[in-house]
Amino acid sequence: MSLPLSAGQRSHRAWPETLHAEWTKLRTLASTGWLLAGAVALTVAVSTAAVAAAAVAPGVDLAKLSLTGIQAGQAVAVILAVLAISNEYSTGMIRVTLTAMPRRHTVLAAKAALVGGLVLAAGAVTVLASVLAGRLILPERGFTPANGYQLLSLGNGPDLRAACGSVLYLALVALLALGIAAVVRDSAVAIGTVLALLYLFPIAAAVVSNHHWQRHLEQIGPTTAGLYIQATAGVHALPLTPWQGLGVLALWAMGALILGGLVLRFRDA
Amino acid sequence: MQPGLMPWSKAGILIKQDLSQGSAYAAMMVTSGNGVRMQWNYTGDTPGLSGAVSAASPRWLRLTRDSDTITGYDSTDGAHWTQVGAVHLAGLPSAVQAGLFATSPQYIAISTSFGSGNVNNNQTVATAVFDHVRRSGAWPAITWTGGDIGPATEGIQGFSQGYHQAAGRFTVTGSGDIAPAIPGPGNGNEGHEPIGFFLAGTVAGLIAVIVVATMFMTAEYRRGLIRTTLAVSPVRGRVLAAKAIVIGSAAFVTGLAAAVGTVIVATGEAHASGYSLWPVPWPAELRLIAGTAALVAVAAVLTLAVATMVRRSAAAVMLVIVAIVVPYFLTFTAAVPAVIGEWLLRITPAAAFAVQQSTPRYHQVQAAYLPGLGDGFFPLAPWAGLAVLCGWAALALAGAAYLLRRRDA
Repeated sequence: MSLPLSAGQRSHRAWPETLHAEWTKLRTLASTGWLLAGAVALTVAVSTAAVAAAAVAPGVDLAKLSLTGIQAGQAVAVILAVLAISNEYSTGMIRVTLTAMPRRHTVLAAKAALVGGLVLAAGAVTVLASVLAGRLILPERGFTPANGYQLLSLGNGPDLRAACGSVLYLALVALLALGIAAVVRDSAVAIGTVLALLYLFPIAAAVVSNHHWQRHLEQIGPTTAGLYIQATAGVHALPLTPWQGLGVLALWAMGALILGGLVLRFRDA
Repeated sequence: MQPGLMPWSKAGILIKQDLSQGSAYAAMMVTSGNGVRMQWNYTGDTPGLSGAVSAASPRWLRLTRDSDTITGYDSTDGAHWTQVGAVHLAGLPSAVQAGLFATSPQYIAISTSFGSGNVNNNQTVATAVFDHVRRSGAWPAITWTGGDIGPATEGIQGFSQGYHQAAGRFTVTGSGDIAPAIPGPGNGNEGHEPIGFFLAGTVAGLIAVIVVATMFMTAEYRRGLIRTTLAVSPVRGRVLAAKAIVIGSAAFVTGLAAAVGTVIVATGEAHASGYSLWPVPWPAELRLIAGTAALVAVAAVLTLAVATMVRRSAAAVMLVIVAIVVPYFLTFTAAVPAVIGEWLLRITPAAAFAVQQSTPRYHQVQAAYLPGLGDGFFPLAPWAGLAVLCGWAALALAGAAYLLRRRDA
């Protein structure tokens, strides 16, 4: 004989159940596995190509160079995050989801936790592979200790920061995408918006000739500021410290998630 | 000339309207790596005898003037002459300057890292030895004098430009180039951009067009409308063609309006604020505008075709953005080394951004021709770049037509 649960018990059990439900949905999306594999492959391919074409010149930042692929791979992480929510809207599944789990912010939080976790895991693999490629290929390109270049090593503080920070960067970009997808609902519009946000700040910063504005654009852009975490050379010349830069991206992600949560809460699904 | 020079280090003879910068000239020269050349009015260049030049294997050069036509000849022995070219210098006055020159362009080292590229320009020096210098015709009976022409050279230690004459032998040393100015901060011309630079916003509009073009097809699949569409017009290839024409035309008009608006606003603002725009001739300006509209239109058709093949919005938007926007972004922000950037702008659909190059690239002028630093140079010629995008779009359309016909809707 089962007794109806009290309100307190229901909310207590809501979290694991919601997580389990969201995990089932994310896991069984045909695209999830492909996108994770695609993100890893694209990132490692671009990173490897970048280190393989590198030439010794003053001011080359080896950690940043080895992690170049993150800037291409983030596009795939964005799709993964957007689909986690927009697929529900395109199939009408969202109405079932919200009927079964009426605490809407818990649904979004569960999605954020799962997408963030998956991207963290894929990001870790990606970054390790990219750093390994850099460590193996860069000495052949003339970046040897004899020429004054340290081998890339995760035992080295700044390199470790660049590597771990890049993993966090990818996860934060995914969360930003998830928040925006919750707001705009349609996958094409969400992906267009997020990728515009990610890629236009650096392009605008490169085009603006006024150095004052250029600095400001780089400070507030989610990509430009977030990628300061990859800097291991000339860190003092940056407009923000590496962790502050990643903090800017975290603010973007948090803002998007809060906005997404509010819209989800107050809008008809 | 000595080994170790720049390929376009040059020395020779020159007839010039006057000594001011930008005045008309025609010159015959030997170069360090490109044989004998005849060059005129900064952008003209014709090859003469090829092969390396040394004291053991000298070259004879001759310029003759007939009214305002200058004809250049070269020879290996001073007896058998070959005409290299004849150029018409409009309005050449009867009294001109003639002389010997030697000069060597800057050495450019480029290093790139994310968000910044560094161009190091180092001055180089060329020294040339001339003998058997003769004039014939109605020249005034004055002797040769030496001097620097053009702006003073900076940054070379222990060197002075020079002219030395002894026993009929002239030794001339110089640095710099006789060439058109090339825009871009890498060439010392920061804050003085051509109009194409202000079309950098195209990529933002392009993302919106990609989204719209995707939904133009995927909305049909999502709502099941595609079944109605194909029931009404069963010739599926025709449906695809009609959709391509509609989205292509809409995108072309949008792109045209955006480009015209940008050019008008940017030119007006530049005039109002006293910003000096790099001069761009009107045919090039027209090509920038029409090319931008064509770029947007063909990209929309490519997107439609990709969306027809994959049927899902997310996948279509991602594929097209990864194909067009990401290569452009990686190159433009100098995120990847310049070598990779050049290749990306050759083979990916992003090659089409070449239609936005305002000023030409001269093979005979050493400069920092980079897309990444705001200079706006592309590895392919404007229409060749657009052709690459058209090729991708045609391929995708063929694939889309095939799949649309073979697949259940």
